[in-house]
Amino acid sequence: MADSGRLPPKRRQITLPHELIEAVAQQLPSLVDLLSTALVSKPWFAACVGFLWRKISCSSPECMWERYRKLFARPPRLFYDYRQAVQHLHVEAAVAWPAIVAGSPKLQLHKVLTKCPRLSVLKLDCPVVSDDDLWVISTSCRQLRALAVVSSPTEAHGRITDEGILAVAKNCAQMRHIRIRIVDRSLLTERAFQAVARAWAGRLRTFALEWVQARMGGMGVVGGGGEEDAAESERRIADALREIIELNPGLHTVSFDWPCALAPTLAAAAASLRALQFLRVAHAPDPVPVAAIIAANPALRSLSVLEFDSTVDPTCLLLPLLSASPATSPSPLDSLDLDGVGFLPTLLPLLPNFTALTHLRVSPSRRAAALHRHETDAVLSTVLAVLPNLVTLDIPILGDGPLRELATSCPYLETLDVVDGRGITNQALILLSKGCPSLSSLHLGSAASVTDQSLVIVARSLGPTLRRLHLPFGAAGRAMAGASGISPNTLEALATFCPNLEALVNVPVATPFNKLIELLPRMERLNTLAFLAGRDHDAFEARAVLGERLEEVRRACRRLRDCWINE
Amino acid sequence: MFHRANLRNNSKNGRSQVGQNRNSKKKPVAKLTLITEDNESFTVCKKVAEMSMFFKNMLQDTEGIPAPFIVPNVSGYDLKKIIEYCSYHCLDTDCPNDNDSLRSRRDRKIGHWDETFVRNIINKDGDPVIDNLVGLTKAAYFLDIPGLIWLMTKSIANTIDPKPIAEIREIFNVPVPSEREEEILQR
Repeated sequence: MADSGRLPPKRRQITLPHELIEAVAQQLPSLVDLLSTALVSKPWFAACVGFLWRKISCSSPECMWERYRKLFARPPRLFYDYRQAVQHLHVEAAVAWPAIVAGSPKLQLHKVLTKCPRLSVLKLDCPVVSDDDLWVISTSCRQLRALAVVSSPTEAHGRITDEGILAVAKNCAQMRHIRIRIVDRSLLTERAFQAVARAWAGRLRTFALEWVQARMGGMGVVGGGGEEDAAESERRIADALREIIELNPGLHTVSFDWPCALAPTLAAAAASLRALQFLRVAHAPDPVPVAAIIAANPALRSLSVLEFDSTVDPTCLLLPLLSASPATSPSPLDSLDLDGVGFLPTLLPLLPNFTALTHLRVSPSRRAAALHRHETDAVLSTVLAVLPNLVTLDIPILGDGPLRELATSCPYLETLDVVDGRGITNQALILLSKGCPSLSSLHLGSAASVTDQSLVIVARSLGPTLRRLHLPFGAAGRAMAGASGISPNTLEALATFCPNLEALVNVPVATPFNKLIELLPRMERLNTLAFLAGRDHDAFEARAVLGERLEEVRRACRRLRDCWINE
Repeated sequence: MFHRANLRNNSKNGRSQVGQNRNSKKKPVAKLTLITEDNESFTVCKKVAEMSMFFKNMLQDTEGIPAPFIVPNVSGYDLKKIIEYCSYHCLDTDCPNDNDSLRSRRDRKIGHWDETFVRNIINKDGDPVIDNLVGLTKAAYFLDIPGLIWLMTKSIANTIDPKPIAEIREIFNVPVPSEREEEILQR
């Protein structure tokens, strides 16, 4: 770094052209760095401010958005009207679904968004806009290119019906990507889908229609009428959806999780879509059309089939990809997410044919995996040996075997979830940390025999690469009983060797408080911290004590956003 | 992005510079002689020179290889480094370019060779680090070499990444703004 002792006495100011400051700003990894860069001087500020506000994402809408709203509400007092720079807005849902529907905040988004002339991507993960808001937003942000909305069944929390979608279809001619999630499906009828089909015919690239089941008594009012009416309306919706698909053969991302008219829609997709790269289907009543879509799109890169009927053999989905592509050029499939599949022994042997796989998530029922424990691990080990490109892996791993295989054959692994790995030992974990130097996120879950011994070495060998670590909860529980488990040594090693650690979960509540206050501030980038309390009496007391002093912990860590105690 | 605008200026610039060489004999040899502003001369292959959009456009415009070409605004040291970079990367197919998305530009990692390359620049006869980096960045920007611009800006970003404002000001020798100015920025 600048060796001030050697500086010539009169050093001239180093100036960079505006475009180059912008290019540097693009490379900065976090907003905090960007902010300190922006505050260096006026020319730097002018170059950086656009990036600072370009993308807004708030994870807990209640408090975060309130701050943004206050800021945006008084532009004359600001040096720069930040709203000019906003291009992406993403409101995430912090809590699980049903709770969000019941307690969604009123963000009054439309008031702010009318003054954002460059907004092109609006992603809302919770129901915060209503029909009227959508109309206001669509008239003022006509350049919108991507929209994701959630509609709740109640008027109070942003209900979107046909009218809202019609307004967007009428006003936003540039739309390429659209994703609609809805709780009460009777709110959208064929009118909305016809409008979508006609407004952006031939131009849509992403179309996602998802039904979210929120369990709330008496809220999901399904339109009355007899069975015949229902069949008739389903037929009309199926026609409209088919029209969307037929008019947009260029769609590359499709997600269907829609309870009515799914079968004819999937059949239409199989007949006309040829450029698909990302496919997500949930609750499909019949695997045949899904397999037909897959067969028609051999260039598929990402496949997610969720809530699959477990009586159907999942291999029927993957076989078309294998037969469609010649042996010389293997399928480019790099992401596979199968949920609710209980046939590990039949599915796993197929995977070695997809050598391009980088993200693999197969979640069979936990019980099935545990029953076939040794078989699963053995098959998995042979599969992993031929998938050298793996980056993400989330599959039930129970013992050491697959971990050893990962260490020798998957050097690019970045995310590993071994939440079921009860039998994982220190030795395997140490091997893993040596063999997969890119590992940035590690979820240890129920590994009961993992102790300080390996965790310290993991911290030391992964070093700055490690960003998220879930400590094993089994060991944390035992630590409180006085047995060897996770002691402050692990935290010390993490604080010393892992400067980029962002999330640390399952820290035992029994860790001495003065040690915590000493070590946590040294983890400069930590933004998520979770403690783990056991069930016994000591843990209960420790939990009570820590609960009272949680505020002190928050104050000690500069960037800490979320901090809580797990049971 | 910004290279495009720059490129137009550059090609215009280039045309006027080489205009006088138009009438000289066009040789089909794939070598190009470059003379920097401090009178150092370099001979490079056409393929290497074409890593630079500036030279590439110039070669297209002149439909041939001009006689020794004077490169303004670039010092001998910088050009030597640029040629070193271009010779290594001229056969690469996945160089960073303007069409990359912001995220991929940010998440891309510096390769092993590039890392050594940057370390050597930093260690050049004990000069303050950032001067060399910035000098080369500007030269790369002038010659419009997307891959090198990416590498240099990334290295600068890495230099200032975890630092507080005061330290960044010290590195770039930016005068500390008056309190009034600072207050305005803080808002």
